[in-house]
Amino acid sequence: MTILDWGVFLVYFLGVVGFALWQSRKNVGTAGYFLANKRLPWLAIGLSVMATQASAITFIGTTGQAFDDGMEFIQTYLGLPIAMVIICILFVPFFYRGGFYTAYEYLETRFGPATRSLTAFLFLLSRGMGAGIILYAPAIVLSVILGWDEVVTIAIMAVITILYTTVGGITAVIWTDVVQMLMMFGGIAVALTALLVGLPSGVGFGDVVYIGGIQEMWTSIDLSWDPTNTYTIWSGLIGGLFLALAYFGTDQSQVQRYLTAESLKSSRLSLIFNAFLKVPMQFAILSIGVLLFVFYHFETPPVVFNAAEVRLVRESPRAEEFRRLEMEFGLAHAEREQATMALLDARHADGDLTIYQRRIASQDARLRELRVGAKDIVSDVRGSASNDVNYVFPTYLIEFFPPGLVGLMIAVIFAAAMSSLDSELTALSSATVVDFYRRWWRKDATEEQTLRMSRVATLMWGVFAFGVALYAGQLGSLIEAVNQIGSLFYGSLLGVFLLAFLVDRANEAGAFTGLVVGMTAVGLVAFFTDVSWLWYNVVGAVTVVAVGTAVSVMASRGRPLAGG
Amino acid sequence: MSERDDGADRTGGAQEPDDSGEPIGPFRTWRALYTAVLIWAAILIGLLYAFTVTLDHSAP
Repeated sequence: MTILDWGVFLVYFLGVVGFALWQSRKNVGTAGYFLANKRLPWLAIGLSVMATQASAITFIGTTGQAFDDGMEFIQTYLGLPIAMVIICILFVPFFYRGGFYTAYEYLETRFGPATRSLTAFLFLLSRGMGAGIILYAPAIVLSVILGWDEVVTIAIMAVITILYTTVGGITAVIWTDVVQMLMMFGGIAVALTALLVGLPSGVGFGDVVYIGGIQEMWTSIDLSWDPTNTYTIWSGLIGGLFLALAYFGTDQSQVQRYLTAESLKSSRLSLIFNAFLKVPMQFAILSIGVLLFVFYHFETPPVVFNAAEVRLVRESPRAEEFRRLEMEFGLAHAEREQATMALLDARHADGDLTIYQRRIASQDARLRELRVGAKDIVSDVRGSASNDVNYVFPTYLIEFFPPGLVGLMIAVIFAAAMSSLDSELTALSSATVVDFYRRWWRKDATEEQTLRMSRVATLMWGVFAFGVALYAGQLGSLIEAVNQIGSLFYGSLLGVFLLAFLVDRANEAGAFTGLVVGMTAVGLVAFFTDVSWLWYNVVGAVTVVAVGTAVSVMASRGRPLAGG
Repeated sequence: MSERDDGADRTGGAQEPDDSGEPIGPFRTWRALYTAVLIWAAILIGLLYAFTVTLDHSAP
């Protein structure tokens, strides 16, 4: 990075942290720290909801995934708009009007303290791990760019985020998210523009779309019924719907956002905002990956994008084998580039394209084969799977972006990471303090003690996330890793909330039993079948509602009806 | 759609004064807004399917 890049980067950090702390000056007590005294406008909350979900993992991992597999990942978001409507109708009124700090508080009013504590504990467990992975993603970028050890970069990220989250609470988090989300919009536009501008002269937008189409990179909808395939319209509409219901409707990191709204109407509007914008935004981010794929038809990409992994292999006994593979990759790329240029000439002259399409497809297949072979060598040498996919976009940034814009884009990736991490930390802190500390340990805690404990909890979860981040490198594609961890618990948590909202006769015995059976069912499906992780949420939620209802009915026979 | 229609009555909590059926931007009711979201989702799926079909240039 140049001095200009560092300047942009520092201005971002100082500006965003200063702005966040300035905004949080009106916070009063615990309600200010966790709920911003319910005075935030819906647009700010809507942007924060979006920023919380759109982490650096989304930015780095998704573009890398689209580079390898095209637009198919977009299908996982198709259930989201529908989920937002359901949450607005069913979930938000319960949470908002109850005057709760956390989603799990509501469950105690319905099913008692055991269910509340178990669901809060599951949230802490899964999102604590998720926070670690969120922290790891931008550390990758810095380690590639600066050549620093990932541990150092993880530590720097954690310290800065913990600092402003601990001091400023939810208000600092949400206003930081607003700035960071706007930066992300800008970053997406800059990246798309730079990729198009960076193409060889004579290669237009239509050509780019066409070249992507040769490898079916724009394929966004798969109509097949295959539950083992994550990327079908049914997995997206049904599994994605349940995932979005669980994430936006029961995850404290999202529920806490719309509890800060000045009214119920504002709470709902912040979610509807996301219902309209989330899929188009994800389409734009994935398009960056597809454009990168096309861009590297005209520039030679590395066979493996993770420079640290390549260095490791070059110092290993398999270095010569890797070098031969790299040479072969270079030759195959040169042939594909030649075929691509010939195709474009023929296309501009309205000639027959079939022969060139086949040549390009053939070389593409060869390049993919060589890339898989190279990654196998990497995996063998380092003793764990290569996470190369997360390095595709950062590598492009370093090599091809002009000075100044590199700093801006790095700041955007940091913004994406910090806007998710800060939300997780404040949500983890609120669940720890409200659902455990003030519920079980210090019921008579004063306002001052609670506020102090809230800051300690934020710090504690930051340290935990740091620990998890150290092992995140072993998890492969980060975007899937976060979702997979969440999916083991999410569906069952959602089931408990659905039971509370929809089944009047549901009681504590039913909810607790349903939750345990639901998680067991998800575990069995995850470990003994090939069903895609996107369906785990459906399995968990349906099992909890079915078992919970049955047990509630049996337990309440001969006794007065519970709940309702 | 009134608040009672959209499930809010299930809380038994106090009604918010600004949530009593007033227009939501260009939408007259919450039901209209929710319907617009669902139509938007259908349009997005249609567009993505159109991309899938029309932008497939794989070799025959």
